[in-house]
Amino acid sequence: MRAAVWHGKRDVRVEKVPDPSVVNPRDAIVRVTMSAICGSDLHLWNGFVPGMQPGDVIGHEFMGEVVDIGSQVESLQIGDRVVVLCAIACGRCWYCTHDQWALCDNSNPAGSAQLLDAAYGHAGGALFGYSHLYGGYWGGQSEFVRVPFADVGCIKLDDDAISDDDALFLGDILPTGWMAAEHCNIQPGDVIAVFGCGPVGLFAIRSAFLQGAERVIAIDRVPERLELAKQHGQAEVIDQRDGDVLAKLDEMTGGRGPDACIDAVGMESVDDGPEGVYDRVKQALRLETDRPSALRLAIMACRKGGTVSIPGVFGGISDKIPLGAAFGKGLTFRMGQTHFHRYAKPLLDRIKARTIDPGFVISHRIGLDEVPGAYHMFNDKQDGCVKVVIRP
Amino acid sequence: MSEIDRSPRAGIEARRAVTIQRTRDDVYRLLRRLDNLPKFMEHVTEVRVDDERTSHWAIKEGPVTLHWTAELVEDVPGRRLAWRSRPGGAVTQHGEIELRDAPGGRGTEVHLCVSYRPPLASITPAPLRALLRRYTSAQLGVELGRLRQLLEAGEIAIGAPRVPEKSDTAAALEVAAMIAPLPAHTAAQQTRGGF
Repeated sequence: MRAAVWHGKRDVRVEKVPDPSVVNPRDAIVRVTMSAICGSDLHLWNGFVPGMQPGDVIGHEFMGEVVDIGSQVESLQIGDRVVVLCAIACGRCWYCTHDQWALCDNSNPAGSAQLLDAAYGHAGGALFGYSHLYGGYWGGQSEFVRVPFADVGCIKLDDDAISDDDALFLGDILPTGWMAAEHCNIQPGDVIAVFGCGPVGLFAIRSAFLQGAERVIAIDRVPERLELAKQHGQAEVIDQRDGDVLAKLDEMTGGRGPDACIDAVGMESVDDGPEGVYDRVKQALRLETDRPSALRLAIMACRKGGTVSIPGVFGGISDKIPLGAAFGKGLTFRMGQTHFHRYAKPLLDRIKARTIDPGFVISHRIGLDEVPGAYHMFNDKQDGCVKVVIRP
Repeated sequence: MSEIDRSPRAGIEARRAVTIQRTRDDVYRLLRRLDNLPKFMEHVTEVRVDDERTSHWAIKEGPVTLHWTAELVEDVPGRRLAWRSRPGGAVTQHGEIELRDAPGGRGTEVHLCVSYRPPLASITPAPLRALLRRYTSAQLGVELGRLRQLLEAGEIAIGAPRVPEKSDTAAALEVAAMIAPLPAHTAAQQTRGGF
């Protein structure tokens, strides 16, 4: 098959690789009909995720058709149209049975789990196409994918009325935006600030309104993303390039600060000020792995007693997190990999009911051969790039 | 040899625990048959059960295979198992498994301790030195992760896209034949009140 293969920092090539096959009894093989490039793939592309090996097939957002199944697969048949959730979960361990699917005890092969145990204390579950810390499973920017525990992580689409455009994002970014809002524990009258208006931020804006937010204020530095937040998301917007984000947020909330702040940026936040320079230098020297400037802003902006929700990916060590401000204001932090399995089916029902139409984030449609160039375009936010989908 | 000697020549003791969503009796039933241990303990090549109390062990270290005979020295059903190598083997091995109820209905805590020592303090042949170097508590942790995968997920997770040379599928199916698989929760079943 052809696949997008990681070779090193800023080096993704489309190559012929062996077709995947059923390895374990609960596996399925899915022929990919649509996949996508995620903002978190940029962390791989930019070389910030350890445990990548040349030859790894990347991509964790994908959907397709079941073309083969293992002997213990019960609920799927060859020919089923499915969306595959990007975190791999066994469905049987304590975490899966307690609705914390992304923390699955059994999906990460023991060798990978040992590395994550060392880095984090305890290992979470595996992910598709996201380094050998998360299992080394091949990903979906390819023609075929081996899907372990297929009964658990495939959402069958028996309704042809749901387009690929709308269904695809059930696998990752739509549940991620939804959980980010849910973590804010939104009460009537709440004002929610969303830092970062990429696809996850845009879905967080929509989710916050659906969960009862009175107002949503969106912050970004890319004009077309702010435009989407305003036009499609009905959010009030702040352009970070105009400066003084904190003063504006304060002013817009009557001096209180937002009730909750969502950091939908994560570890590669961009900041023009001295802090941004500090983070870039330390990151280049490997003295700091993550650049957390959006998180710092979120903490400083949040009202006393408020909540900081972090769907943006962090991987290692961040410097100068104002924990004193968080302590002094009695903030609550909610974060972590999304429990996709918890939200995907209920969100599919919302898509069917037309209360969410996730396809609006798509800005570019490409074939597999165009993937390497698309990484450059997406990373540099050229050509109004918000979300790239791939028809392999 | 002094008891507090921590050099590789003195031997190694690996000790780890894992919590598994199974009853103590289920875990005991699997582990009481010591020939099941190589299904998850990667460093052991083979265990052959000779009779109720004795088993024959083999570990391949490069071109050499280390052999010994072990005797079951403790067997408390659902609670404890311990075995010890008989004198005359290639290595002195001691193993201990303790099963405890995990609090909050979280299944069983499996505490496993394995130690290897040279039979003669003065001579440690190269293959035995290699085993003593590579077997650590961290490696035992990896092996206990595989045990949990077998007993909970019903298979051993592997990231490879194609069937590797050495597949664990047969081992997983043998375990499933001994102990019925757990029911799986799936994303498709999820409905949330008030969503």
